[in-house]
Amino acid sequence: MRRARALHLAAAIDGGTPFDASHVVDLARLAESGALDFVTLGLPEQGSGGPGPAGPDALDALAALARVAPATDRIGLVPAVSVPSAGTEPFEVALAVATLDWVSRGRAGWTLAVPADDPGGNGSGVRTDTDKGTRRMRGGTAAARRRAAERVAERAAERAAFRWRNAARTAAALARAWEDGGPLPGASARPVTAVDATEPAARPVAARHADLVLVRATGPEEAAAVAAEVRRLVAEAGRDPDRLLVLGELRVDLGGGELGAETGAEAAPTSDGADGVLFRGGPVDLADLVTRWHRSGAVDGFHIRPVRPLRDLERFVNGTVALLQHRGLFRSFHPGTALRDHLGLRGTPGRAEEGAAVTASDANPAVAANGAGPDRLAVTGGTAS
Amino acid sequence: MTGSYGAAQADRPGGGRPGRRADAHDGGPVREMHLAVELPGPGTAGTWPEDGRAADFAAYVRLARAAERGRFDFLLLGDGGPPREGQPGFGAGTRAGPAAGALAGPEPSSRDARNWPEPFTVLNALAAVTERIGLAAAVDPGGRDPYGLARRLAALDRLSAGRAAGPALAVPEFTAPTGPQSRPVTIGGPADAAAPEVVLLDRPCDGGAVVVPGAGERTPPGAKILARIDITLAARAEPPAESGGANGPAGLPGEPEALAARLVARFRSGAVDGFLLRPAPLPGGHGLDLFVERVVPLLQARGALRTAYRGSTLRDHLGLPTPAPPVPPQVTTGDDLPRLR
Repeated sequence: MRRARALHLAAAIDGGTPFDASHVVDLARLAESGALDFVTLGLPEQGSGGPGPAGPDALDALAALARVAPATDRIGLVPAVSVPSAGTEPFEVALAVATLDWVSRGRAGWTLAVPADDPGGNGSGVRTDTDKGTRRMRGGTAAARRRAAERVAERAAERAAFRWRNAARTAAALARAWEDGGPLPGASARPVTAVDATEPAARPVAARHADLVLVRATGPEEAAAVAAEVRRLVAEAGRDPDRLLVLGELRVDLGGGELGAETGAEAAPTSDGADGVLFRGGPVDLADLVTRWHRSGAVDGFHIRPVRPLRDLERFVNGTVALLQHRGLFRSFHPGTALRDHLGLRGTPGRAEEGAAVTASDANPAVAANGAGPDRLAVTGGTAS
Repeated sequence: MTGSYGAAQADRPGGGRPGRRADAHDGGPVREMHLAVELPGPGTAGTWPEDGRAADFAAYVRLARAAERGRFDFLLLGDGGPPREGQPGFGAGTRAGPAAGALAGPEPSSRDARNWPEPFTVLNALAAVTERIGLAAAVDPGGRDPYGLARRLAALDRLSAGRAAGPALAVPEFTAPTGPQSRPVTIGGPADAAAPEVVLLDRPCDGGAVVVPGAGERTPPGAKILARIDITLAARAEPPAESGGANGPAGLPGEPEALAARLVARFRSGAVDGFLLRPAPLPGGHGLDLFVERVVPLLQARGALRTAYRGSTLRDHLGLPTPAPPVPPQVTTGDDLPRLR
């Protein structure tokens, strides 16, 4: 049974020119003005950052967020680092993450950028006959089509397992780097580790290493099912499942804001055709969706990916977040300085805690959040008046 | 571009540019002293007092801002050399011996490189708190993937709008988009076969001609030669403090006037183009404050040091030519490559 906990919100600031410092700084400051927990930055796509024998460097996103760190005060900084990364030792990645934590005074995290699924088998190391399989799915008898579909799904699972086996090795190597403490003063705790746990193959990695998992789901039930599965694996790995945060990941298009608010219909996210989930609607619709999902206990919050970075992040912060703050569901400032403060992940493992966000309602065990949860949610100090 | 000197030029003695290196690529008649500061890192034994580890990042910010107030050309930050195979972690239980890189200075530190920050990450962060000063990564390319290093150097160059320097790297296929200085300045030691644009000497000459091993053949005529030097200033006009020579290649203790005079004399001898200062080991990053407050104005008054940055890139500061952007290989346009993510 899950209690509704403090709401956590984060945003991706990808989408601009990879190394345009003012672009990433502006977006990060905008997110900070909304008191979001953290921003993430992915690796630039191949081609946008210059082609080369090894694609984007493992530390490209980290470099950009290091540039952002002194230009911001409170917001968490979570770069994607690629794994496995050609030519970069896990220790180098670990030291760079630790250094980002040091220059930002405890605001760093990192997330695994695992290469996207590549059905052609190019780069994944697993040759497949997907195209043939896909053709078989279109013709022949129903049974043949079903068998072909099963085969395609099996191949995809094999490829995912292969990609995440490599990711698991790097994640383990990074975790080992902190076993005897951090390298630099003032940053003793291990930087926050985030893992996208949507793919089943990712969940064992998340269970062992993640402080925070991202889930791409079109509904709260689906998200809750993934969260439950990951928490079960976390407990099996000997960690405290209550200290794992689960954020829904949505691509967000707030371009139709003015219309959406008046219909009264619930705007629901849909699969975006690729691997993501797309929400299209207005800032108010999104605030309602955030409230519904969070209140149900399915997720601890959301990580949004603005479809158009500047427009959608601005509408998210000044529309959705402002409304959530007004409703007392989201803090209006950062009470702590470190990312672990924002996430309520400081302190002794084993004790479910909300850090600075504990309130009377949160401490009340009657505030259950399964099904028809009560309206009272954990509220951070100093909510909007 | 050198016309803004004003009164400073009047101070210059006649025949002030006799050196063999003078004016090769300065773009003007006035030969200008280049100053840089070496930030505390694993190769800078004796310059950092705090527990054998890096101090708070604020100390680095203070040093960087002091150097920029002093119109220095660049900050230099090294690392502990490439990671060794199977190097597992940071902690005390797993420490191994030192691994100072070729650029890490004359005294390989006995401290562990794992207790020091990663240079590119620090320099990217320092780009946010400075506006003009160059950012040089003194990392040893040996044992590392040159493409990865080139990529990180290019990222620093673009994020800092053309202020990066680093080791010369042999990466022919590398075609990252370029920033305002076209490509990062290359920096290395006198024995560096790659003929870097900035050459760092471990020992400065003392008045006479400097001996640069191999410089005649390898160092490009326009290269800038900077001598490492320890700076120990007496706080007041007191008798010179203990020599800093015990800690570094060539300590320069003393009063601001004497120090400025000696620096200018060495510079005017033509043997070097400037100095890489290793700041006094003061806690909190205050090691450069006195130099910038007391010595820099004297150097400027003597016409040896610029009073303002006249350009925005490190190449501008150093008076190095901006090369044509590298031509991408015609093998691919990038559009037909598989998209990651």
